[in-house]
Amino acid sequence: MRRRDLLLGATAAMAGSGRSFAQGAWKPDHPVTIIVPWAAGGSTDQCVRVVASELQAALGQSCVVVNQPGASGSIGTRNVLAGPHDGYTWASGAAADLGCYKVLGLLDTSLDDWNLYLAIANVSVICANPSSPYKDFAAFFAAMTKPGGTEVPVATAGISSAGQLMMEMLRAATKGAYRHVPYDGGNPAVIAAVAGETPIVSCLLVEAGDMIKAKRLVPLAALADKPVPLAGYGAIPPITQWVPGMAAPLNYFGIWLPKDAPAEVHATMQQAWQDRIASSKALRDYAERRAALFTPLAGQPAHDEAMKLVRQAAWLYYDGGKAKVSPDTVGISRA
Amino acid sequence: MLDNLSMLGGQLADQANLTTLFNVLWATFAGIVVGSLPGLTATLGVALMTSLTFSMEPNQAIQVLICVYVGAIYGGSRSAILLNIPGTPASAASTLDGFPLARQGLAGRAMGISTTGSWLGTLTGTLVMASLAPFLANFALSFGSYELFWVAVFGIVISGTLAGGDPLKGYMVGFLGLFISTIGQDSQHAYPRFAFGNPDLAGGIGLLPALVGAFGLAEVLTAMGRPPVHGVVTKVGSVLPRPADVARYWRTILRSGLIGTFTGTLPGLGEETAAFAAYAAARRASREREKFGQGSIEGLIAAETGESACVPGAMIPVLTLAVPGSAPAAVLMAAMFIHGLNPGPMLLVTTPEYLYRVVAMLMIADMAKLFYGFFLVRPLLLILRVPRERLMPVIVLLCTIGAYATTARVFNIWVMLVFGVLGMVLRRMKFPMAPMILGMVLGELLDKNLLRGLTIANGSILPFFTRPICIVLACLSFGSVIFSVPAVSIRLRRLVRPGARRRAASLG
Amino acid sequence: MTVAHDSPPPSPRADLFTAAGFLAFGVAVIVVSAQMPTFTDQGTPAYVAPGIVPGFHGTVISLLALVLAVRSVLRGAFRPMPGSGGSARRSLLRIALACVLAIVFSGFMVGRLPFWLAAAIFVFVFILAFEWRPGMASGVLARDAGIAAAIGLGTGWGITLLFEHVFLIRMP
Repeated sequence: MRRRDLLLGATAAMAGSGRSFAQGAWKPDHPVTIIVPWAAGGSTDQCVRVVASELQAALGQSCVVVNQPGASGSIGTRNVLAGPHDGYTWASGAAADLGCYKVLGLLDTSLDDWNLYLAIANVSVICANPSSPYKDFAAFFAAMTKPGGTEVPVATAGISSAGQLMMEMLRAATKGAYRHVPYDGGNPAVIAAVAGETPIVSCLLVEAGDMIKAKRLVPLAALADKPVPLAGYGAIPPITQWVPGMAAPLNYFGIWLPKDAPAEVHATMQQAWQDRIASSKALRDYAERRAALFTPLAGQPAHDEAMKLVRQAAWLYYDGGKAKVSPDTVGISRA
Repeated sequence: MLDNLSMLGGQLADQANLTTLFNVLWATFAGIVVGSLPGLTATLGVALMTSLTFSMEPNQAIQVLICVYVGAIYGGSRSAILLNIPGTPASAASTLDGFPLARQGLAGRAMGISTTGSWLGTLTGTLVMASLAPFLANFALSFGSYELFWVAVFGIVISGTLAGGDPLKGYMVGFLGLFISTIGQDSQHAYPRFAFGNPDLAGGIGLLPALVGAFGLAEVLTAMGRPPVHGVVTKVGSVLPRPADVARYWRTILRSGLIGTFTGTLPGLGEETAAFAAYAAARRASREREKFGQGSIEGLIAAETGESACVPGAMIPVLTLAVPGSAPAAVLMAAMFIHGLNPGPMLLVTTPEYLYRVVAMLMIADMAKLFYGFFLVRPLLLILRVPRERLMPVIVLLCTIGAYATTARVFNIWVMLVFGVLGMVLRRMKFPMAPMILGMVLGELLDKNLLRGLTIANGSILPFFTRPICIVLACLSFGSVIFSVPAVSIRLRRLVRPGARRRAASLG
Repeated sequence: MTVAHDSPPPSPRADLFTAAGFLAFGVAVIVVSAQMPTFTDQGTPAYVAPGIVPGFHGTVISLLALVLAVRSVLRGAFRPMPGSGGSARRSLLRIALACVLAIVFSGFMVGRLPFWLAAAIFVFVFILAFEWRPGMASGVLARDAGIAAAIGLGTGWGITLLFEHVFLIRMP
């Protein structure tokens, strides 16, 4: 019932902050730009476009989505940082990426520089090709941890994608090994596993949902601490069933704005998140169809929730030798 | 079969109403405008419209997006033929013969031919989609990393000879394009190659600003260098599809249509590759090979048919696997998700009639394209009457804004400028530009699939040579290399001459 | 390719210079590729090192450049050449002028001035610069300047309107 708790907490937090800023509402006088640092058509892009259309109604002004892909999403985010912080240019994506840019040496920014407005959360899953030898997670787990065996190739959406993150978490927790095969996004990775090019894919449930329903992929485990229901399939077992105590923070997607943007912009956005987004049927339906969680969060609760995965990811990168600086030095403590 | 036909008929009747007619007319026109402006691509057009059609009823919204897609791919050839500037990357192949035709005073005829080819291309692709979608989608699945690597190699092998002229120079710029595609983060370690600490370079060089520079700005600069005598008398010619052309080149049209459709179904390859592939195949098979690059009607028709057939082709894996076959198709798929339609492997199980709905939409969009094909030729020909001194600065404006528009990055304006000046210099030295664009498209395919294939096979190169499709593609590639060495080619031809003559006689 | 219709084919000596340029470029690519890290310390195999593929491209570019150099020498790159005529020089001057104008506009004016204004100035200057002839009657010049200004303002305004309000693209 964590989902409902989250919702309740978020709504309460927003109600509190929203009321105090009720007057002096911000009325944008020209279109607002939301920069998606990934290619058009991907899961971030889809989510942001639904959010944009809801915001458009709330703000009474068009919200234009611009795709600026490149360098693991850091280029689009960099351009928002470099532009005027007047509330007219937004960044978006997965909060975990934003929090790790500094650790990976991609971009000098951290979660604290931004106010997050989160919309949905995605669950990561590990799936297998039905004709592969991995009929359940136990079989894959055994292959991963078998000493001296050949590493199993695992398809992911690319470097520092949610899928790779999940595999790295698993590696850290089990001391096992796998062979990372990065693709250009979640879709090609899923297709690789469906076609049998790799036996395993680690990706977001959004990306694999339909293939699971069509019985062309077998979900082995979800990165969660309780079974994850998937309409039209059943429950996907949680990874904690095999790796007890493995933490499973959610992967939040949303839009964000530099903290030093005008206060009335943030106040209006808080209000919009509370009034429009939290009760948005379009977003709720979208999340449900795409096997994602609808998690409207803003302000401090959004920051705290997003930080859980950032902390874990940052330290994983550091321990794996992939970080440029220690997370400690940029304000991400280990526990 | 009869079942399918009646299902298609039903969907067509359902979709064809006055609201649709209205939407189709404006959306196709918008698509053609977006496509013909250098820098504004089909991807951008579809992405913009996704936001604008958010509140529309799903069937109408998807119809609008399909019209923009179909229109933009077609529109790109207008500027390719008239100005030698492809409006979208997909039309780069149409400049090869389209512009020479225009310079011979045949711009009207060229646009008529391109309309014919484009219309028949989308039609072919749509019919293939209606009859073979599930089969083709599953076949496309057998193109994994190893196979796509060979597709890239094959493309590179034919790139040098593609544009006619000096093959050596073609290969040199082809490899230059391949190199350019490696700039930026690599796929395995996200190491910024050739960035020298510049964060913008770490993101790589975009195909679009490079294309706008190498074709658009370079064309402006080249045109300004020509002596100020001009005024090619342009005959409007036949703007209608001429049955004679269709009858004469039906083999080329059919071949290009099938190549375009199949290229579309392969994820990672889009309209630009489809057009080049169809063009290269037509050149190889043609009995008038020497005309290619000098204003060959057959070449233009092949490029146009190929790129337009790719559109339905790219929709096939969208509907059956939820895998986009091209960049605009990826956005279209996102729009379908947003509108609550669920393309993917479940579609044929839960709502099989939706496949035919999309077929109906494509057919309607194709008819709208044909309609504008008739009516836009005369107004478009007026562009040729504008004196160069007055037209070219406006094109520089469009190139600048076009390079900037898609991503709103000033960096891309600089990319456009660099490629414009570099392109002009190379063109003066008789280096063709098309192989460079093809190299940039294929370079990523080559690099990523090679490394990925090696990773999956744990460093073994064996799978690259043992999988059946790989063997075919590898043989084709090596065969082309051997054939392109003049001495070998002459000897081989001498060897098979009696046979070849007999075959030519039976074909003719 | 349409270049066939444009300028005369480049002389063997020009080909030699281009070959030298490509060779230098190819070698530079090889050098930079060789200096890239291999990441073998992170446990990834050497065959996926980032420098391999660009290094290969650089090698092929260098080899092809050598072939072009040899060919141009065989075709007489070192033989004395006739000087270029006046028309060729005028053509180069026009190209250089267009280059400079385009770079000043796209690289420096766009983003600093409002787009419509930058566009209007650029189009006005471009048209006048290329339509001006020595000894032009002042009346004709004034008329041309008027037309140029009208085209400049019209296209600047029209393009801004189309892109900003129809396509909803933010102008630089």
